[in-house]
Amino acid sequence: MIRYLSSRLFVFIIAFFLLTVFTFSLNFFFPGDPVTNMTGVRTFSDYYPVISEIRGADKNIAFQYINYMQNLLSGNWGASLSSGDYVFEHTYQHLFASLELIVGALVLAVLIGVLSGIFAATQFRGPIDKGVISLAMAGYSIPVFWLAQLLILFFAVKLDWLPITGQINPLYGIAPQSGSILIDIVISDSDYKAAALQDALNHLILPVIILSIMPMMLLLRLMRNATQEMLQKPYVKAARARGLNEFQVLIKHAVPNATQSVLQQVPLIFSLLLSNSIVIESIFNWPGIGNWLVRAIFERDFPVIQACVLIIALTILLFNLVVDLYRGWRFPIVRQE
Amino acid sequence: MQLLDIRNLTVEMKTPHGIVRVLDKVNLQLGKGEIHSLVGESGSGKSLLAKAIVGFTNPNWEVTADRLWWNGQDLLAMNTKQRRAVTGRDMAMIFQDPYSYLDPNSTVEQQIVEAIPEGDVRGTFMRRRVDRKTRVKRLLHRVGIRDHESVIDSYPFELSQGVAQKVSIAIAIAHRPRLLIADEPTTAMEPSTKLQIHRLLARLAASQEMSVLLISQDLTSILPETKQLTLLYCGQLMETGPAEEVINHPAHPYTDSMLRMSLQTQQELPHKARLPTLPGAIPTLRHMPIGCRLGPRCPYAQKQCVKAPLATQKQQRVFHCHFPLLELES
Amino acid sequence: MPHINLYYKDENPSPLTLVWRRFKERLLSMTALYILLAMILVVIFSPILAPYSTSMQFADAVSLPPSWTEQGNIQFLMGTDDLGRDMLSRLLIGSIYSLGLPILMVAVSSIIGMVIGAVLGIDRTIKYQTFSRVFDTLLSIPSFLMALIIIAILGTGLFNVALAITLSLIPQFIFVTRNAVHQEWHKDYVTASRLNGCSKPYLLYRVILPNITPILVMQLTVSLSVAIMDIAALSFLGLGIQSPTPEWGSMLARSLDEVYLSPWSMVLPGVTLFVTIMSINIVGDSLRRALSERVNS
Repeated sequence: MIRYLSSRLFVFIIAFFLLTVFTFSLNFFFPGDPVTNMTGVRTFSDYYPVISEIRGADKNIAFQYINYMQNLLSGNWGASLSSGDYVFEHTYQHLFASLELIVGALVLAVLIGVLSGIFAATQFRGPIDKGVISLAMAGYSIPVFWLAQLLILFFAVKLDWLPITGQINPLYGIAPQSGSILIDIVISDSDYKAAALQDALNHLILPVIILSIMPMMLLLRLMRNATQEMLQKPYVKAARARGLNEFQVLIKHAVPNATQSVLQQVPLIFSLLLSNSIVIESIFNWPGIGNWLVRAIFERDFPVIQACVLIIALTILLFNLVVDLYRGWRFPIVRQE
Repeated sequence: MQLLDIRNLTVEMKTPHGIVRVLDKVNLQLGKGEIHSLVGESGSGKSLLAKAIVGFTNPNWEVTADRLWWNGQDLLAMNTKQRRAVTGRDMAMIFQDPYSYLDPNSTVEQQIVEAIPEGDVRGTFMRRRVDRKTRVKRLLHRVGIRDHESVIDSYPFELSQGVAQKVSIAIAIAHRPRLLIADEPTTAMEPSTKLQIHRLLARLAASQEMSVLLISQDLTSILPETKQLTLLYCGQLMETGPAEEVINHPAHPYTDSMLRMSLQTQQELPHKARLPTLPGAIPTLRHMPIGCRLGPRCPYAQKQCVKAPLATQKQQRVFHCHFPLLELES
Repeated sequence: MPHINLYYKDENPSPLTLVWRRFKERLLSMTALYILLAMILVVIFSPILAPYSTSMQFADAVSLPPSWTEQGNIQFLMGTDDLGRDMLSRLLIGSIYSLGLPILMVAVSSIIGMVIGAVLGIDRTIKYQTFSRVFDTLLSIPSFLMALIIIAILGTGLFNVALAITLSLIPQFIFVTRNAVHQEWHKDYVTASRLNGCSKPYLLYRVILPNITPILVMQLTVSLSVAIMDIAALSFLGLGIQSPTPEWGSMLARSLDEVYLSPWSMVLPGVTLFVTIMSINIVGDSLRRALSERVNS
């Protein structure tokens, strides 16, 4: 396990290194001045010569990279070109807002996707299985933005059950602190906490459901195929012949082994979830990383674009690391590869 | 009374090229505590027969029999649940490749514990765990694993092939079955490991009053303790009878050729002599000959052989051949 | 004379033929394939099929519902949008951007990616394992994010978007090809050919390629559905193909403002997009299924 752990950490560090090299080189690819792209200080500003000196714009590229890394690690991510705010201070608020959606969608997708996948596998090729699988295929093929439009039109406009966009009704006057609206409400000193919480949850329902649909359907199909495949394995048949009932066979042998193979695909599902979250946040005007990124691209706000790319990629890398370590810990056969 | 009594067992398989009869009216009797060897080349349906006995079937197999009795009970008349209960209680099976029959993601202990019947475990809640563990250790000792500490927490892929096979035997005998079916348990194993497993099976059969149905590819890898011997070819029963008699005085041409092929029985083969094999090759499933399926390859075959020969019984021996090699006194 | 088959002949069809036979057996997959082929025909002949120009505005027929409703007009089969432009023509011409362009992008990126992947797959010089792990990890960064970054560098516009998505699709092809080649490389039949003294190009084309073609075809369908989804999503966000061009995603984005008045302007492009992606996904899934059935049998 220690060998496995260290090899995975090593890979993670190398991937992180390559990622920073990539974001660093973005400064040169983006139109405009590299130092401006890094720091958000414009060339006509009075500070520009000083900043340019500190960043070593005239030194060689290795020095510039090391300097960039030092700034990156010490939280000095420059200032937004459009608003002038410091990027780092705003990053975590946007991140938390995004995570609120993403974690919600992930939990929902895993719960429903995995359970119905297992259920479909037990009904293999029966009418229920066929129905579930066709539904999953359809749900996986719906473009998220169109699904969002349809559901907004139906639940928010026609039925008027749920709010259309945003995190919470601004009348509650919850000051953004952590970024995650639920945490913000709990730590705020508002007099209407319960009502605010309910309103925030109402705002959450639609985006979380829409965001979870595609990963849920993908997970459902993967889980169903894997469980079904495991149910054909000799050791499962042997367990049946030994007199175990179908439920025991499923819980003790088929599902753990299916989980092991599905976990391999989970990074793919997570990255799908994140790219969809960019679209969903823009539609629902959710103050998360994705929405911020899209606005920054419109405004050509390069320090912000860089921060968003770095954070999204880092989230994915970290998530993969955790999944990998869990697999190695729970399923020792994985370590043998 | 026979423990296992099979009459005219037929298995038909649905393939893309139509229905193929992979087992054709096979008979098999097995007594208490006896070792029965089932010998046949690849494609003879010997594993299929074993799977049909334990009910390890695929949905596209059609299993019919005049009689498939276990200890006086008709297995074919039961529903899946009853049958699973009977086979789970009385039978166990081990296979050629132990790894694919062990769950790769559970430890040896978990898998053996799962096979120990709940009724065997004694004591109150906390004691039961301890009792289970001692039972697992005892089982490992019984199958010849002395170093139980290192094996008990291992995962199957960490074990050597011999040890993995012993573990699967431990799982198989955990509920003290009355019949152990061993489907080529030692093919692809080193000779020393092979010998160990063979001795283990013989010892278990002797000490546990457990019958063993040992399936093997050729006559060289059957146990010396074998009491009964049955030969299959392409799903048809060729010959069956007490092992010693069959080997010393084969009645069926097929038995005879199998004996000649196994070099150990051959005294001396002249330099550069051809190995005495049957002409031709084993037919594929789609191209089964009619009548006696050995017909096209049999050196003694004549016109009559296009009709399947009926069983001829001579004392304890039964063979299916129009032209047996034995003198038949009528 | 009736054809009588007197002799058995065991054929040995290629892996691709075998998969195709399995594929053909399912009605659903064939239906999806036919829909897809019909769509491609529409892409090719859309300038002939479209009754009007996409920018022609009919002042007397603004926001006309589709012809099967009561207020509809048979002149405008699928109605018109808020500027009086014919929906059917816009949908037909839009297929060039929403389906034709992705096919082109996938074709380009697959050629580049597969060549690089094949070279990486047979190249033993790099410290293999660490490299591939790092590569796997970086691959989990979604292609949509990559496309966004490239657009941030190049700016929006038809060509830039096409370039961005093409580039962002390449890594997946490299990955899949390399893994497939690498897996086959260690199989015994390839070792046997190597011992026979076959050259590397021969091994790659004549020995390995026939055995991995189905996997590559499957990856093509996956990438195609990703490309369609990405280009539509980018256009929807306003970062892709810009509005007067009748791309399905940008039509959906436009429909946001007028959805209360003319819901069909949202439903029609969405359904077209949905059906296209769904048929591609079904084809891909059936391929995967046929493939695993071939391997198992």
